[in-house]
Amino acid sequence: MSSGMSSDQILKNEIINNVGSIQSFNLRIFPEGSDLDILPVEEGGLTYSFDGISYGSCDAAWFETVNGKENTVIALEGTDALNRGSGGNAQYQRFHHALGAVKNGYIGIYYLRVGYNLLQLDLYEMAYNATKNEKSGGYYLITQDLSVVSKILRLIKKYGRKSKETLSFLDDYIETMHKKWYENKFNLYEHDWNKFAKERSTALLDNCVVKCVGRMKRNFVDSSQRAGHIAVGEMYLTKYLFYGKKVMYLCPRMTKEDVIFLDNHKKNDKEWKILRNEKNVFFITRDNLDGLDKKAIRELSFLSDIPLKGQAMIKFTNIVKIILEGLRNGTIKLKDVVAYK
Amino acid sequence: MEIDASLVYATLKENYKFISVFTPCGEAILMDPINAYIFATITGAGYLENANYPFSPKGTNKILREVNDYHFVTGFYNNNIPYYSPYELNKLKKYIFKNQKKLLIFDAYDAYDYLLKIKNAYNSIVENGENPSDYLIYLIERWKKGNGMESFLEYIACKEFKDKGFCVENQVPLFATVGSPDFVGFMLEKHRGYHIIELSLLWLTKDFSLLDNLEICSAVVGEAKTSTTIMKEQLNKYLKTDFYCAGYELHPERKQIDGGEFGIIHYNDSDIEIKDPRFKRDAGKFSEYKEWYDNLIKLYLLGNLSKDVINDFLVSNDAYDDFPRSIKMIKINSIIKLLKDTIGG
Repeated sequence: MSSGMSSDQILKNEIINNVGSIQSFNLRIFPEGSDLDILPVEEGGLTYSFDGISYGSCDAAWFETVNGKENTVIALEGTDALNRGSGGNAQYQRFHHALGAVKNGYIGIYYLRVGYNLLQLDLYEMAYNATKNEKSGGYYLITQDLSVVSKILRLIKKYGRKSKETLSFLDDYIETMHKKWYENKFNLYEHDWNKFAKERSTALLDNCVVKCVGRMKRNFVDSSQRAGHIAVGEMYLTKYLFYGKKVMYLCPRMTKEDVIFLDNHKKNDKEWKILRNEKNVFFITRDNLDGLDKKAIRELSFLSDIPLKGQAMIKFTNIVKIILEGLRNGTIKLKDVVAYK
Repeated sequence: MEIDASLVYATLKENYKFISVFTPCGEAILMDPINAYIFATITGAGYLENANYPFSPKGTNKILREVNDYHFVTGFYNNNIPYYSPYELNKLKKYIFKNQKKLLIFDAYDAYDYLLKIKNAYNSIVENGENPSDYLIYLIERWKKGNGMESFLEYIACKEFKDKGFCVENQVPLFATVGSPDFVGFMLEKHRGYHIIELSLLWLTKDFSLLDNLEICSAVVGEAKTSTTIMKEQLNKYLKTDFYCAGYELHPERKQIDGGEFGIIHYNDSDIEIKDPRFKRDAGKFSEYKEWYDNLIKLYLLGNLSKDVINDFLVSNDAYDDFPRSIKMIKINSIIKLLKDTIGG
């Protein structure tokens, strides 16, 4: 299949045309097809790490040179997903790419090019909570307008990164993001967290939030399925919407053995490492559920390696309802949940 | 044998008779704007319009996704209107089709080296009082296996077969299940070759003789590799479509194919050599392929025109709502007439 211009090329041309290089800052951006962006930022690439976890590569970054050393000012990840049929979960898949920069105290920006599909408003709240709660001094901005990047760079050039002018702009921006989500998305659930959670296959418990998903072992083994990216997106959606609670990322179609297998065989897989090492996130399976009835366990075993379509999807959806209701009313409890070492 | 900057220079000078000039950045190959544009669309070389991210038109000349499928890929068209067709590109970046271009070719060894070479070239040119947009930069990624030079082999195949009287293209649509051939040559009945994108440059060249030279009678396919010599399996996938009468391996060093079932394009020192396959195949479905090709070139020809003229034409032919599928119903002579009436000739 002829591929034409890649979304990478389209985005990078836009970045150059709409922002480009601004005096005092060094722009780092690589052409489509280059593999240089996957190098760590310290080695000239565009991949940010924090606490030993690599967060995926960005599309561009602007640096200022201080005492002969290049420091990141803005790291930008872009996507053309809204023009390529991604109305839902796919928009979250790249959220973590700019998150690495935010965790390091820089400004991370996730740019979603305007398209046929609407931007998922949850992204605003995720970025808002990442900013407020990572306590790194970094900011995470979501935008569909690249002029925001130019604006910030010009503010920093004129007043400095930590100046009141720059911080005031950034603080106002993230508050606006929060307001957009609160007034246009959260209001649909009458600002009720329990209602919000219920619509998202999520159980809100006293000490944690349980997100139940349909991932199976094969999704992670076969990297062409991009399950890793999808799972990381779902995980961060849960973590940064329900911030402050431990996140139990529950894959009931998987077992403890499946997880051990993936730990051994996916040691260098970026997305698997994030799922297993992200602070306050626990990857759990049906083996971590105490009180789930034997019939449901048998069904899950049968469903463990088949696509969730038709009857399989109906059965799985019913089991998820049983699990989440059981967790909420205490008839099902979590057991043997330990942090990955 | 790896293709590096010095071999690229030698190939262009010795095989294709380009001349070199001295510049503030060292040796450069002088090219007219159309040859430079074609080189850049195939290889990914970029115009030095800024010091960070040379603009490459690679991918901008692609139109359809697959054979017998009438959906656009983003490139030449986007959302059913011209996007980066050469006519539209000229509006956005006037420097592309103005002035002779100087092609700089550098080996780059890592990320820092890569970016530094771009920046240094840009700054040197500006300091010398020249327009950096008149320069193309082609960076060879020496850290990759084979230096990632498949696209240069595709350029060579296009040059060689154009000289043999073919309409040529690289990274050609076929089927998602089969892949995209690195190179296809469509043998022209009148044996005067051109690159398919030249059909969209008539507004510039005024070379309307191409309009009498559109009929094809057969097609060949090529697969390029630099880091391995295993091309047989992929070539056989293409040949099984029964669209092509011959397959060619494009490889810098491979000199012989056992049994002669494929042809080969390779280097002999710095000279390019072509060996044709021992026999031609029976391309039983070529007529089906030709039917699709005849519709594809209509889309390239329409790209000579502005969006408004194209829209009006489609509306008057009742073809606007279902474009690009509706191109099948439009006769090529009506497009040729429109071109001659609109842009002369």
